[in-house]
Amino acid sequence: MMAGSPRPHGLGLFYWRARTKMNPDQKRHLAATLCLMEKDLVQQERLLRSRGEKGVLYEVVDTLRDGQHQKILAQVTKLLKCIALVKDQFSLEVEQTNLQKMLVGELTMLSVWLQETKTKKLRGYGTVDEELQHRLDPLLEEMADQIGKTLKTLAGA
Amino acid sequence: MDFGDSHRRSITNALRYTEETLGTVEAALMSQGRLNVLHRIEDDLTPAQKEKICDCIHTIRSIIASLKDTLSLEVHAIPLSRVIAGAASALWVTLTETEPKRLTRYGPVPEEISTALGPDLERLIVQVHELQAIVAHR
Repeated sequence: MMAGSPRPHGLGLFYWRARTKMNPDQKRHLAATLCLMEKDLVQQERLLRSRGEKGVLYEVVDTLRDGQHQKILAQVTKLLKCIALVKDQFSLEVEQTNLQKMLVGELTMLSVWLQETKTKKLRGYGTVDEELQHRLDPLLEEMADQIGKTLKTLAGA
Repeated sequence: MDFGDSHRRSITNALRYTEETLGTVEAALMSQGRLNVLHRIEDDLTPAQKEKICDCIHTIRSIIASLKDTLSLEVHAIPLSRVIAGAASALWVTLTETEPKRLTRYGPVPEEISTALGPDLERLIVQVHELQAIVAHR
């Protein structure tokens, strides 16, 4: 197929493989942008299919009308197809990671975050009630212990 | 229990972030086998490890629930439409930052690349606008 020929699948994107190469930084930027976009779209897709999400302290409430879900899902699919085409066109590399490494990163950040929530750190926002210290810190410590256990479990991977 | 608003806000945000991160971890544990376009997660954990991780997640969630009750923390409810509209706006910004003229910050962009990438990005942006329009049309 010639450069600039329309691709026969109705999305209207042009089938054209880059002969002149982007420099590595430009390529990295494009790949990172589309990769983030894909992760976001996958997340939206998950929320749409589960019709919201309910946690202990947060809730994503499904306020969409019935027909809207299908329309948005179809749009998400179109966007994911576009991303796949751009990936092919510019020969973008797939970001590879393993589950262990990914979870260690997330949980380590969480562990730091919990330490920052202890009452001695909250003093920056004003005097901390002593009762709050007794009620909050032991439970934060317990959560940090659980995360520590999980990190040990992961280290055994 | 009565304590200052700024303390309450700080604790609530931290615990909410904790919960959301646990959700991300859980989703990663369950999404194995999904074929993504630009990112792949290799599942290198054993079933026993996954079970232990799920147990820890469960325990941490119970602690958060206990703190919610003890400290009377509020649940933050957000409409799905707003989540999607917000994500679409962020996507629009990210895509415009990738236009060929912006990529020149990394060096000259060959004409051939501009000609090919520009229209593709424009189409992606149009699709994102359509997504916003669907969400806005209540």
